[in-house]
Amino acid sequence: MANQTAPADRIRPSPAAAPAAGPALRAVDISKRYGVVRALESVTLELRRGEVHALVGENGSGKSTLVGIASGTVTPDTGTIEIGGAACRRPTPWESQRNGALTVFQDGSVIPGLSIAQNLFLGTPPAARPPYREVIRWAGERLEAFGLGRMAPGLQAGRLSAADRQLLEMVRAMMARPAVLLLDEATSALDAAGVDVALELMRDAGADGCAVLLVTHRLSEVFRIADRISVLRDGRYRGTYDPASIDQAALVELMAGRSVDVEFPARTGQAGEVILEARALSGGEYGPIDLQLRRGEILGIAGADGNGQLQLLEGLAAMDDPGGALAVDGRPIASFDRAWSAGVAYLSSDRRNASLHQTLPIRENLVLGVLGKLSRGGVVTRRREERQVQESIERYGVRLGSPEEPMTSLSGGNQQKVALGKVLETHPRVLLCDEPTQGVDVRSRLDIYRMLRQSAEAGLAVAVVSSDAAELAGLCDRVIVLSRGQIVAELDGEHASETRIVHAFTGHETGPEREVAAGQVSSGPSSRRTRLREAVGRHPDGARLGLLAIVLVLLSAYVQSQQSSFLTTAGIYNLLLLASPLAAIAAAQFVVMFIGGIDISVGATMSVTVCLLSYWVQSGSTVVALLLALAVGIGVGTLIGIGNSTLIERLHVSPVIATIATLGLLQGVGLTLRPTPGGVIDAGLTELLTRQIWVFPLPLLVLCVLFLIADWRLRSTGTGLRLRAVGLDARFAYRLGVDAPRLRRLSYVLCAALAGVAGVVLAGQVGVGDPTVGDQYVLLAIAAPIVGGASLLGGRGTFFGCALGSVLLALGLTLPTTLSLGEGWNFILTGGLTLLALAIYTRGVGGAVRSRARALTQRLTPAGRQGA
Amino acid sequence: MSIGSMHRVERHQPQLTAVARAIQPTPTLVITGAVVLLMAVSQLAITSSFFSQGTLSTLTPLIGILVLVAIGQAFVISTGGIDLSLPATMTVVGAIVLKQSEGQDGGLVGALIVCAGACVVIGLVNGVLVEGLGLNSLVATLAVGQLVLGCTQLYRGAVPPVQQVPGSLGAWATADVGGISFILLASVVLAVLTTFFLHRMVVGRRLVAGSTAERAAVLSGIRAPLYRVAAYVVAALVYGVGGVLASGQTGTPDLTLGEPYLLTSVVAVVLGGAVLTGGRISPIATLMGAVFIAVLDFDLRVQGLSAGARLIAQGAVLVLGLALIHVIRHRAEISRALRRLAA
Repeated sequence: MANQTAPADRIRPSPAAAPAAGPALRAVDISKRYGVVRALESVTLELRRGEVHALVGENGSGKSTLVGIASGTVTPDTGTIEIGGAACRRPTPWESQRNGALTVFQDGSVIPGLSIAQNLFLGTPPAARPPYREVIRWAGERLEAFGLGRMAPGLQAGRLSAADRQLLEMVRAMMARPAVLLLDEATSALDAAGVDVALELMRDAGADGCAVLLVTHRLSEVFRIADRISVLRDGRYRGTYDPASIDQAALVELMAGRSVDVEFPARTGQAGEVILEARALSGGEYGPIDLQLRRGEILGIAGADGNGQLQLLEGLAAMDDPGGALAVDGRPIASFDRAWSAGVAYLSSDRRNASLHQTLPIRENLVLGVLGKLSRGGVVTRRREERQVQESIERYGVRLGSPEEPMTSLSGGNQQKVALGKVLETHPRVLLCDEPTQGVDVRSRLDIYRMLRQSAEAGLAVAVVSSDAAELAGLCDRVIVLSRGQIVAELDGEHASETRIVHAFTGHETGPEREVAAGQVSSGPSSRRTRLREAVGRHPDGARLGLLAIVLVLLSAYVQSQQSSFLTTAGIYNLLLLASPLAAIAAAQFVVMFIGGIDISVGATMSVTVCLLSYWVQSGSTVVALLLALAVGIGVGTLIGIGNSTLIERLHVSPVIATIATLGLLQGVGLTLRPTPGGVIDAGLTELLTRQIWVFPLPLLVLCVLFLIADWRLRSTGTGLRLRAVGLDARFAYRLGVDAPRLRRLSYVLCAALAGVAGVVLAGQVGVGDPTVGDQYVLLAIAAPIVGGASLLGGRGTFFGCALGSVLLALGLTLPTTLSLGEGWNFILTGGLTLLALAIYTRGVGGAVRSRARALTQRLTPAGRQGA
Repeated sequence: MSIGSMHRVERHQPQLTAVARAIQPTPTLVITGAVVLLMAVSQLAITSSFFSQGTLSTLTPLIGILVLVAIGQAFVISTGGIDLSLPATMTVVGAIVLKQSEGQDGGLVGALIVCAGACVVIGLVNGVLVEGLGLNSLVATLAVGQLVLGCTQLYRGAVPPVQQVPGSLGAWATADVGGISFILLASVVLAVLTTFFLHRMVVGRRLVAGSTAERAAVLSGIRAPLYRVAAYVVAALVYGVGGVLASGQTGTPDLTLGEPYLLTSVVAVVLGGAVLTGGRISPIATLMGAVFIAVLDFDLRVQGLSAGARLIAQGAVLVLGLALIHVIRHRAEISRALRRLAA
């Protein structure tokens, strides 16, 4: 095992085998910019083998960017990463993994739709993986070995608590015994006991010769475990220290670049009357909670990550339909719209999507909340707008080039000032603020604290959620601490300190028990129904196929009652004949749908294939004709697929627009080949492709066999699992080392090639080169997989479902003739069936309808809010 | 509320000099340049009579209709969706004009009112399906398009009793000023008004806000879902106007009236540089995109190219436009990659 050139060896460098010389990881002169923000500037860092190296810094200091670059998920602007002496040329997660670095990401990479075992399998480098069929046994053994034997390998990962998920990720990374372990805030969701387990795991890894990079903002953990500590500030490297020679205060000062005493604005301590009052407020992850927000007061909401703080804040703005009662100035509030009108403003920390409009100019962002005030007769006056913008810029100290530049030209701190300023300009009475200083530099942070304090003095009631306990201790008049959605402590601002707040929430057990308990209570009374529901939940694809089969039988029975010749061999054969090309094209579409894409050029690919066959396959022996036809179909399709995948994956064009372009091109090619239908396709071939075997056309029979094989492969191979992972969550799959772009490219090529085959099947039925014959399949090709249980979001469905969906659609297409309805009815039926299937299977439609209905009933009966 | 202590306005060093900013390739500038170039080529190399009255009077109404439907499509694309019910909407409008007016001028007003009603219904259905129920816009609008097409066939019957649109509609749709069609003039006015609407009107600003970041708009007290549904309704109404004019122009609208406009409208919007994942549309750039694709199509027809070849050209232009947008957006990265390759 001492042969160190073998790639497999690099992944499992046991301390005996690996040479002691050279660092495990070397980051040299790394720089990275995001727009105007310098995330990292020529940072150089070395990790020794066997050490636990802590990387500390404030929010936005560049820690996560550095981890991203080392893990291969972020491409640096300059600089190189060497892992185990091997330099990464074009950084990708799989290259980084191959070189021996595994990563646990801050926001995770557990794909909730997959089982625990499947998640472990995905995240393990190829050399350390078992054959896929042994995955459950293997996962069980590994979990046991790492002390997580209580997790059942077959359980859906989405049902784990946040803390368990984090532990699972750490074990996933450590199982492969990597040379380098990168842990980005890997303990954020853990309670005191969980942290102990995690630190023990790190220590073991270090003893095993692994270099551990621990990124955290919990300094107590750093001092408990780190061998060396490196500091980042504002994207620059600020030195590496021995924990024995530095104390916590000095470290904090290094991180902040200043002494950290007198920065928070002074409290006035004069809370006025109650503005917002919540009684028994409750939602999915918190409550019931009683809370009052007073005029002039800043309330802090603290807790370990994921204990319902954010949900409580949203609940205070009446979002997501909370239970209990909410009132502003004594008047009840039922919905976010009402809350907004009553002066409750909510400032999200998600500046990209939820607090700012990144693509719009700074000016338009600043005035968005006060457009009514600036306008006359519905028109925004330029003069008033400019004055308002100028005032806001000065009042909130926004540092910018020109207000006409897009939001993206500002640094995080200035963006946050714009976001906060925008809200404050609307003169709210209550401000609910999530992580007001996330990704904000120190100077802007002080400005923001001052903005909040002065607004409070001017009569605003403020509530702040923050993961930074020091911030809450310094800023707030009152701090409540949440654990598992309940208030477990309330601290007076004057006496609150970072340690006291953290102590308050680590003193309580955090975690998942809340949800589990709720589940157990409801599972009591009707266990048979629950069991049925659970069985359906375990096999969602099977359940959908069953439902589809039932619909198919019922519809057939109805058609039979209308027309007695339907259920004869000939009648069914005709129906299935219609379904054959549809099944083939549906399978093609399903291939891209499964990875979350879409291709609307498949119909045109069929047309082009048919036209080409009408030239090239006119006579000859049947076998030669079939082989030639398939070669033409697959060849043409492959070319088209390469074009599509280039547009979508290389040029990053949305699949819809890209395939519309291909659709246009191919329609043109079809019309050029055959301006009018003509050219007879080999009769032997058409006879073969319509041959009847009992009730089945030959091609459909072949397709169904292939579908079953494909479905089986999709379920029972690692490649199938990786495809599903890409469809379920491409970003996480990529992080776990799945080459998602390549799989997607392959899927588009395979899709178009299958569309070519579908063209051959269709050619066997039409017999002549018709340039528009595929046009009718544009919607049908999408509809059939959806009817068959596939999801446009990806990761769901089966090939066999496509076949069943095709038969159902074919039945729909024949209905108008059977029932002698007008010609337009088959369009209406296709469109209607598609919409119906889409509505039924789209996640959240049911929920959306239900919540709308509930909101409506509540608005009608304002008194009936107590139940919920 | 006064926060007095923060009078600290520091200005960054402007990153680009004034000259560099002036020649920044904005989408509008690029497409306008392309249009000027194409027109010059048309006049010099294709037909020496490109700017003659005869050419303009055949070309400008086509451009005008395309501009209309492209602006409609741009409204939807700016919300991050796409509307593939466009051809069906135009076709149903054509059928309504025929059947309701019975070919008589007197019935035209009634027919137009019915058209408007139909468009509002189509737009509402699209909007509610996509925004209310959260269905995929591509599939939902494609399916709605099929529904509309089916209804059109039922409504119209196999052989419509009237084949010819009212004379006054035909006259209006073919009227021109010095060879330039009224339709084009009207659509230019619409583009300018739309620009004003999106930049200066309160409602327009809110629509843009709702399109660019829905959640941020909702949290700013804007009823964003309502505005996003409205985008679909406005789009359907604009297609309807396009459909009425197109049927006036051909005189005998059939079931394929709207077909050519699906691809061309998307091409025009893409050439106009609309942010395809949602963002503010630029009606002027969209207009230029429509002019470009219409003039190109005309040139190719003059050259004697078949319908198929012209479709290929449209598809190719769309692909090239997408590639160009990619290059412009990622020019920094691409030059870096090239340098790395050279090194």
